[in-house]
Amino acid sequence: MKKLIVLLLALMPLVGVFADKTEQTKSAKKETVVLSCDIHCQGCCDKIMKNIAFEKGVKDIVCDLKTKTVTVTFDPRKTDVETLLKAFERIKKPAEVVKDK
Amino acid sequence: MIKVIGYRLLVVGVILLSPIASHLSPLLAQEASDFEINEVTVVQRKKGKVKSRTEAFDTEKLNSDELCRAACCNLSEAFETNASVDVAYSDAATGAKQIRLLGLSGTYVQLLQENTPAVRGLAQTFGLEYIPGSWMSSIQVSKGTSSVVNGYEATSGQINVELLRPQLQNPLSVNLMVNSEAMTEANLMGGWKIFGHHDIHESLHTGILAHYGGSYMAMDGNHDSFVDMPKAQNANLANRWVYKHGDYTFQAFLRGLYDRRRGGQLADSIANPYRINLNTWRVEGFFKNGYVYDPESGSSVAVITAISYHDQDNSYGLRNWKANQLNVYLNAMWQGNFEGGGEVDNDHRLTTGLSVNYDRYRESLAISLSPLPLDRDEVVPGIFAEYNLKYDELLSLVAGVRADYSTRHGFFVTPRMNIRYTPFEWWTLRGSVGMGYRSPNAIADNAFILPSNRVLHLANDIKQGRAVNTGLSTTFYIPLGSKELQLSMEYYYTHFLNSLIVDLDQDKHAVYIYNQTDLAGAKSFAHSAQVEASIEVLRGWTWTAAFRWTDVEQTTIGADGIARLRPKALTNRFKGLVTTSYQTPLKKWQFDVTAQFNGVSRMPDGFEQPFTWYPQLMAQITKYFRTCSIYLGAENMTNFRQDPSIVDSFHPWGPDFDASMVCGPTTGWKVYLGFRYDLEKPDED
Repeated sequence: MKKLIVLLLALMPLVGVFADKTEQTKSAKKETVVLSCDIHCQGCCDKIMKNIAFEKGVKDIVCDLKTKTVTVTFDPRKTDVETLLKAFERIKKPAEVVKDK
Repeated sequence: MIKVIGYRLLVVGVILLSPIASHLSPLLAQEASDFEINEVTVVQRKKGKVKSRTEAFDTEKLNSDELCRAACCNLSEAFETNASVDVAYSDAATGAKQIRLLGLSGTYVQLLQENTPAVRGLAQTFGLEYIPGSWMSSIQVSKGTSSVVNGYEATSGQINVELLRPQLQNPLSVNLMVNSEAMTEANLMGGWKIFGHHDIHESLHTGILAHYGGSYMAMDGNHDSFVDMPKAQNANLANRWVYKHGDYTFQAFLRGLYDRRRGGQLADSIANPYRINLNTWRVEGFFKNGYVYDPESGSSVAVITAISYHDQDNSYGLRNWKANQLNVYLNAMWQGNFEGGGEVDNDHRLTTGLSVNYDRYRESLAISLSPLPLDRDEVVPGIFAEYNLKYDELLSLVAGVRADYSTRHGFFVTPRMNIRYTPFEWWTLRGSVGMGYRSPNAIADNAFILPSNRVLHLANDIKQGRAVNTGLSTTFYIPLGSKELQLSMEYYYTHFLNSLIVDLDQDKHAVYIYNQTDLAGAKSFAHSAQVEASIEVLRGWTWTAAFRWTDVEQTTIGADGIARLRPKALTNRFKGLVTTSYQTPLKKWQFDVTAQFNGVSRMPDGFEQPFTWYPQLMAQITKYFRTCSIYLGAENMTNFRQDPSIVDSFHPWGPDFDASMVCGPTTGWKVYLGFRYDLEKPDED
């Protein structure tokens, strides 16, 4: 039983490390766009995270309440900025491109 | 660079995060709490547990993200990942759970539901399980003395549960769960707008909260002839309404519940089995009226009424405990907000009002053929005033006093003070001192002794419990690169001027319940010290480690007939906790692991220490989809259990039988699988 405890506790760091490594190896296939969006609270960010996260090709989202921007990282082979903007439109959070990275 | 504490939080915080604001304007209060969550304005992973940096009270808020880290079927399971609050089975036969804060039992914690009385009186025994986990939107845990606005009962702290609000909740939410012991539960929630719109000044919303839980399998995993957990059915239905017209708000909450438990010995091969039958009916409601007469400053008036009727018919072998309680509560208050002059941002708030609490108990405990009448009535009218100062980001101070008159215990005064000082952005200091009072309920507070054959000796004149609580806490926010380590240390001391002592030491076949003041020179106190560190080590990956030491002592008469001060029986002396959670960047997966180390408890005289400490391990994996999520978890993975947990379980009619000697888990490992679905609220045009 003690071994099981140690194993489970050890798994958590591995999960984090694995996630980090996966992110690095795939970075070559990613593009990032910064979108300006009318977000003013945690609820807006939750809504964006809950919906845009499940759009095809989306790899990462960072919501910045201070600058009212959403940074979306995506796989250009699976989606593009126009499709993402339509997805924002569908959840009634219209967005505009601030810059492409 | 991550900006810590948005400026707007400080501006709205003064007005909205006050005791009256949550009654008056739940929508605004929720928005304010959203800002509170935004301690970090770049949202990557929302914090599940937030300790306010600006409030004078030592409060931590557990939001829905934290509550979803474990099965959290009900309030009793909401603290599995929390270092401050302990929840444990209070006996080995009924499934009743007991909460502990600062080492003190739940009777000294004021448990509120949206700042109205919730788990108190007769509901103390099973009340934690009467608030389903899926109904809760957040929990605030305040340690030490809290606001006098909500009464005088909080001694070691206050726990306030916020339920889903109709104007914020989704039109349909479902939560289904089943575990390896064939316990199933279903929750159905929904909130709808009847008319109005948030842009105009009138609206009416309603919400339904429904819960059904059933446990159908009688299992005897440790072969002690008793079922590990009673077969149970619990039906719980609530309806709430929120009406807003300009600056006037009305809220109504109505709830009914039925709880049935069947436990005791498995009857297969026993001629005269010991049975436990527990039946509870409860109806309750609260009504809140509030008017903000000066919207600019937030000055307002509010009247809150709450009423509940609790009826139970419980039998434990030959013992029959029949009781009902009627509670009526009224709280009328006025709040004025004043902005101080000068260059420094300083705000002053005064809250004052009156309250009346009425309790009517009709209670009898029949042991064999001699019922013990315990009927009592108590009316407590009182007045209160609380001053709140916020001086820039540097200082917050809450000083309050209330004067009450109890028809049973006479006149008493409750002074309390809380202060927060932030000399640097990375360092906060808090201090608190105050008094708490409580009318003990000898049987309901100590129902764990009923499944035993201990002879009950109850003092004739039970006096009011009175205690002074003092506390100091400090929190460091230490920057580590782009991350922040939050390191908290706290110490609380509770000194009882009088408490109800449950003496299990004098005689292993009896329990003596008497006032501390009945025993010359008797003392009762509790020390609690805790250190806690938490950090998000990588994006989405959080760790919390905590250790708490408690020393709860009281004078009891030992088996040798000599009264002496000693550690309180069946109370853990330390708790360690390590909990970690990883959420993938898009929140599609979440992994949670929590390990706890609990011990050592003193056993009453005549009983051997079964173990010195015990571990607990819990884990859960959650897979999120756009509108639903599936979670799979396990509890007590170390399968550690106190065995035997019932003394002389094969002879329940003999003098030695005792299911109350519990100091560890009484059930083994458990696996559960659950499903959550949310039909998202449509945007309003």
